[in-house]
Amino acid sequence: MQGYLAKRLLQGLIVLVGASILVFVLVRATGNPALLLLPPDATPADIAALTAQLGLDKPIPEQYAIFVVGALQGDFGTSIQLHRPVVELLGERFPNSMRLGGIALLFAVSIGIPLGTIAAVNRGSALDALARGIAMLGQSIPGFWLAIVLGAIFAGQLKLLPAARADTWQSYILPVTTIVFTGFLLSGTIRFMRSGLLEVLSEDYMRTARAKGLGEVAVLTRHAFKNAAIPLVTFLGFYITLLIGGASLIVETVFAWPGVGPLLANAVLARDFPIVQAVTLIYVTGFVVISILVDILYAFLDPTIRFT
Amino acid sequence: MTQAAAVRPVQARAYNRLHARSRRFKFKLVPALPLVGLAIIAVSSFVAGLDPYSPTAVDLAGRLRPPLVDGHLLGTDALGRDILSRILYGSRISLVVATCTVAISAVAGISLGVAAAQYGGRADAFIMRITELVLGFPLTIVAILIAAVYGPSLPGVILIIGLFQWPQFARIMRAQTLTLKNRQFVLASRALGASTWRIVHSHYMPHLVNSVYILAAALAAGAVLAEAGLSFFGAGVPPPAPSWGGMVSDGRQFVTSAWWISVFPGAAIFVLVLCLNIMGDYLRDAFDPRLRVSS
Repeated sequence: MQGYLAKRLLQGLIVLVGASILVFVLVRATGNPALLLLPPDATPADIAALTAQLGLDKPIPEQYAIFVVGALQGDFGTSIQLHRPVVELLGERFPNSMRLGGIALLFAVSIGIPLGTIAAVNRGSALDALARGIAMLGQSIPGFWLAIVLGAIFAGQLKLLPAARADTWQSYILPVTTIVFTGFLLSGTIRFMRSGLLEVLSEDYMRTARAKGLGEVAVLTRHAFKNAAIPLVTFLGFYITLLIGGASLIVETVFAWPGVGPLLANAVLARDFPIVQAVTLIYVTGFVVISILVDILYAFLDPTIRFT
Repeated sequence: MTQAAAVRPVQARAYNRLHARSRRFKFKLVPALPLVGLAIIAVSSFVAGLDPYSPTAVDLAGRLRPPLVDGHLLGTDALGRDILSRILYGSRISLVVATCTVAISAVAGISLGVAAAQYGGRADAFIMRITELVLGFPLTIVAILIAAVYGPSLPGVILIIGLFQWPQFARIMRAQTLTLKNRQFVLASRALGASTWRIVHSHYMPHLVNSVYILAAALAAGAVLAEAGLSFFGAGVPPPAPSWGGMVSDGRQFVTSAWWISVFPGAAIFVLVLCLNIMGDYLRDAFDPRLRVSS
């Protein structure tokens, strides 16, 4: 187990270094941010001066070394466009994104797990068809479209809910609804719960549990759920990173949510390298850490799993 | 020739199973509906141009017409362009993106996934770390970055989505090849002196095709959604080409006054993705009893 963990951590570190180099080079290929900051009639000397001030005149390996040394000390540089430390900006934005994603996840799990369970237990029934229908609809509706339509109906026409900002609980309703009901969040929870449970329900130990007189609820909660949860846990683990990196980015931008999404989208357009680098690095770190955590969780859910 | 002969019996068996199951299906409509939907979308993308309006003809006098006014079935957008014509033309973009990205990700994913399982060791670890790297990278950010460097374009969108989808193919192909690798018929074939290439194409591939079909349908649906999302962000197919995602974005500022500009293209995306997803589920039910979703 310890040897396995060490190996995974080392591999994760390699993935991180690869990702940071990739994004570092890619972001610099989009052009010189000095050109966007200066007026169009700036002289080449002005441009060169600002480029040097931003530290972008040094060779890329040297810039990367400076970035790594800073990042290891928790310093991701200063935003080129907003003139504030990146860490401070992310400190304001990340909690908003986490809250939105966390609430969406909570809703998806508390709707999806019961629905998936009901669907699996009553396989082939109308309830099963309903659960599968909800899952199918969810993964087919484009999120940005639902966000616009919901915003137009409930914020624009009916004026029932706020369209933007994150100050009241009402402002969470539309973004959370969009994130839960589009993409794979709720769909995947229903599907993985259902298929995981179906696979387990036909096992011999389920018959044994019933034969010794356990009630149906106890059979499900004590014997079925833990084993059925393995594919679901994998899915949710990876979807959380996807959620921050993709789905929420679009939904946050449409609803002008003060999270990381709009900050990042603007940073890419403004060639604000430090922000893009820091956010990408945080996403990839999250992905690596979650994939290791999921592996460890396997061992708790199914003690027969051994690591090599 | 030998390759085709080797593949055919297993494929034929799979098709027979598919038909046997479809006969037992309570609702025959379930597999029929998405096929009809896909056929309509495919046909409409070819007949686009037969309708009286050009998808890019600007008519400022007839802008923001609601549906069913002045012969515009689904109305016109802010530049007076006919929405229906644009949706019909837009289906070409969606279908081309879906087909090409799935082709790219299938070729790359199958070869790398099978190679990783077959050769194991360092090659396996290397390929799997690359899939992790790609899966951990946020698609939207990279796509916007690349669009910022090279300018948005159709081939660019296809390449980016393909680049992000092959790891899913690779991981599943690897997992399935690993279960085949030490089966007796493979060992027997190797003992008889079969080359790696022969084992791959005549022993592995017949077992892998079913998963390829299932994954292809699911990834095609994902590709349509991804293209729409990227075009919505301005990092996809550049205007004035009528991409469905771009059309939704065009109508965004008019959505309370001229809802039809955004609503209809979004509905088109939904219908196409739904058809592809139902197809994928149906193939899964028919080919892979372990993963069956419907009863």
